[in-house]
Amino acid sequence: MSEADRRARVDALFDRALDLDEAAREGFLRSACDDASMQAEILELLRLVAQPSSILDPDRIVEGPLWRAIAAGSEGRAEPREGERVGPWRLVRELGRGGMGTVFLAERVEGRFQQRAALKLLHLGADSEEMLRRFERERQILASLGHAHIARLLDGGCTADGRPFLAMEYVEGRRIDRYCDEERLDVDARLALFVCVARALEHAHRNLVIHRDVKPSNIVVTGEGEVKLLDFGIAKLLSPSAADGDALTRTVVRVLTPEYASPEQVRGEPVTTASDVYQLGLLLYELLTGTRAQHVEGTSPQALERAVCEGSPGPPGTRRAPALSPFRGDLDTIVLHALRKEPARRYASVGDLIEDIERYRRGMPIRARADTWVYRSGRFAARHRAALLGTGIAAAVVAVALASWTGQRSRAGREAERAEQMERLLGELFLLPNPRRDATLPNARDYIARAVTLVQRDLGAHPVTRGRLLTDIGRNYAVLGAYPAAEEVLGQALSIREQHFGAESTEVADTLVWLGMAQHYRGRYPQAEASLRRGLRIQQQLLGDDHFKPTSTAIELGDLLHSRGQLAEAEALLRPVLARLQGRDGVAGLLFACRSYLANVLRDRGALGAAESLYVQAAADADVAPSVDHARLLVLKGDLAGAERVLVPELLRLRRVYAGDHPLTAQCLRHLGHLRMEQGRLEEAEASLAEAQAIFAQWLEAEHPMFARTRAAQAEVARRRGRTQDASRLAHEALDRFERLGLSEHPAALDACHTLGRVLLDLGRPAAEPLGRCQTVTRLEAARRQLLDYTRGRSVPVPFRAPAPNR
Amino acid sequence: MAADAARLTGATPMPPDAPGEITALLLRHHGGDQEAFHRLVTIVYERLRRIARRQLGRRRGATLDTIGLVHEAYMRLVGETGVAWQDRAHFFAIAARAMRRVVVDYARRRMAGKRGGGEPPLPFDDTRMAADRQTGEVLAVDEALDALASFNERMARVVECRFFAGLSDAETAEALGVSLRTVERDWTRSRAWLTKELGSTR
Repeated sequence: MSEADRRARVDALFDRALDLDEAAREGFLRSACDDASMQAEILELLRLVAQPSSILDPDRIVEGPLWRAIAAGSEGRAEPREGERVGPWRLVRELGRGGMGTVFLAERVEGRFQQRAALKLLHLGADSEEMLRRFERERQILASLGHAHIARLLDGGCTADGRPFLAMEYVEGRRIDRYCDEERLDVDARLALFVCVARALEHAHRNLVIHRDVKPSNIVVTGEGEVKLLDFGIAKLLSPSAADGDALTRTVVRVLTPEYASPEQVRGEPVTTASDVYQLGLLLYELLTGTRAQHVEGTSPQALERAVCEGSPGPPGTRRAPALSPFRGDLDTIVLHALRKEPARRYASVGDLIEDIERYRRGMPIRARADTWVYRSGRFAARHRAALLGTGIAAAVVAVALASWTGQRSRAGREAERAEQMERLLGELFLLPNPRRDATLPNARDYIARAVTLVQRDLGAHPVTRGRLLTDIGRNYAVLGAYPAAEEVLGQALSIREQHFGAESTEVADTLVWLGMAQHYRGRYPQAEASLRRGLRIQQQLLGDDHFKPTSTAIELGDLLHSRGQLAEAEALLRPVLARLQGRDGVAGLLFACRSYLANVLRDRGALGAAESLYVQAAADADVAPSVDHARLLVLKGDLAGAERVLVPELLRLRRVYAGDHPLTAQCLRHLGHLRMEQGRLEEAEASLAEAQAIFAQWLEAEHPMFARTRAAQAEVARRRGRTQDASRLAHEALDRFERLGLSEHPAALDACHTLGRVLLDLGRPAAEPLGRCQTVTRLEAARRQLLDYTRGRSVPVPFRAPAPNR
Repeated sequence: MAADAARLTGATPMPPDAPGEITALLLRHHGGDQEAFHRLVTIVYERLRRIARRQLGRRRGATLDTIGLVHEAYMRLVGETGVAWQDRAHFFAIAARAMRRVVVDYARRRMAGKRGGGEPPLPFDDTRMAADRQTGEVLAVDEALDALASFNERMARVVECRFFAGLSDAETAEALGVSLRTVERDWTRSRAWLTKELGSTR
């Protein structure tokens, strides 16, 4: 009997035995089976019926990973071949294959001119529709990255079977690492080449584009020795933004080469320009040592995270490429500084990295410092907390510690008790987060909230300390942009201090000033004015007009009046303050604030020249970069390139400083929106304003004036894009908001009137209606602006007759 | 339905396989032509792979709707008109065989690639590792299934339908033209057999 026959027979008996109950089976098998082994085999099968292997679960395949891999991979798809058409391109020959796709040399077959391209056909099973949408969004930016050392993106689209492709400028040359070795470049020549790469990245960063995938295979050196960066922003095209969902953000790193991933990419955290700095560090390491800085053993996410987030390559000097002569330790410091695990501790920008390299090349001392032992030993513990210690929290630590110290000194009798109390409070405040208990890791705001609770619970009997701590905490909330919380806590502090010190005390005044500022930023202008004026009055009475404190408060009041659109009052208040401050020592901070605020007022009154000289003076004395307010002036003045030089780096800086979003980031985006509008880059203007609006919406309450201002700007963009209906709707919304807030005189309300007027004129209707919505002064101002527009030749002359003023 | 299918494919039409050819092959296979069966499986195999890729590619993390997959392949290859339901059921059985081949072929290439083949490094991800684990399993099941087919062809076909194509008992019964009870019975027995087989090879 053949094996198959034997099995068939076993199976037949097995089938019959299945119908029998346990007791009957044994007798049946004994009599039916040929031998004992057959009997045992059938018993074994009967036993296995009750416990089949989980491998055979019916859904295991169809819901399993293999099918998904088949779908996602390039498996079995017909690869396009040489000679075939892809969009307007004809494939000439294959240039190479990588993780992301296959690259072909291609020639354009449509169109009049001959053009060659490196055409990248993507493997990724990504949703091609989504991919194309993202591509459309990005291509304009990428295409505008005109730089000698950046390979241009030429085209993109989908093949007939739905595979996305990208066509980039074709660059003939060698990979940078091979070029360096084959040409036997010395250290300095390598550094020179590296600086070229870095400068190209710096240019991209100025245009808000991050490369995300800097590595030797993406950098080519041509026969003439010119560097070209390839695949700019491609990684971003292939990896959705954080807004597209958690599962998707985790895929960011998946398409990258693990050896060149930055720690934040591996952790799935937001990728900023700091990531490019890190990858430049990896590149420099490799150019100097001939080996990779990161080695990833194994394929698990854990292995990747270990290698990238914890591994350290050590100083490149110790592993110097054999062909190179020894280099100074400073170069080690530079590389390791760029390779720091925490983005905030690396070079703040590619420019800073370039500067240090150039200093090294000229034999000057570099700026980066080597890690201290304190840093190294503390790094493990710090790793989890570093992200939490934002702006406010550090101040809160100081506040608590300071209160503890002064408390101990002033009441020596109860020293021990108070010290103990403070220690416990601090301990509780900074308990390390427990991932099992806490759903999410606390951020700085959570810490402050905890501090409020603790202060109120533990310090009930100590009004002095309580008032002080709550004031400090309120200030921190304000700094972090949590204005309602700031107002609430400062309100508590105020009543504690009023009870303890009396209503007319400097302590009460201090808290009032902070409260007024929080109310100002919160958009509650009348309340803010009341608080600031009351604080100012107390300070003037108790300290005299000339004291530092009332001066500072007056300046803040001036800023508030500016926000309320009361420009004449603001100017009248700030001018004498400025006159008093000028020529004095030790008032740099006040002088800066006063000049900046006054400049804002003058700018919005149309005195652009006077405003600009104040901005310049303020920035020069304080040795700081021009402010976004100054940039607004540059936009008004028509110096768009100048405004761009201010706003773009500032936006990058804000995004870095406030790792999440912040009202200041939104403010900067709003100004950027105005700039883009004037540049005629209307889509970008719209995007910036929409982002500003979204951030404001997270932070500010519904009736904040900032929404009215943003709407006014959005209305104008919509008008310029020819979307008349939207423009009209947005302008009306802005005007309604300004009206509700009592801000119809505000310069931005004016802009909205202006937009609305232009919309109506475009529609051939009289523009009287929007002007009727404005106050008299505003009408005149609107007329003046239209005239200004006209004389500047920025827009079509509009027949315009100002209505007669009725007072 | 037809409109949906047209919308789904959008601007990327797939090359047509003449529906007439498929129908003819189905008829020939009906008449016992094994050659026709292999040709059918080959055609369906190509088609399924393309549809599956699109289905999964549309959205990350999507699971494969195998029934939808087979339906769509059927609609594309045979069309709705003029084919009796028996042929449609019949097509399912062929599709199941084809799906087995898709998975097993892929697993083989994967295995070859891991043993020092020249495949370029794949992007790094969880799917890849899970797929690596399943590769070995699938090849073992495939081998055990061949052994099963050597003494009971029908049981092997039931496993193809239930396991590789994800058909239900009822759909399998329809596809193979046997009773529901037979399918249940065969599935129970074949799993015991395969479990035994898998156990002995490890």
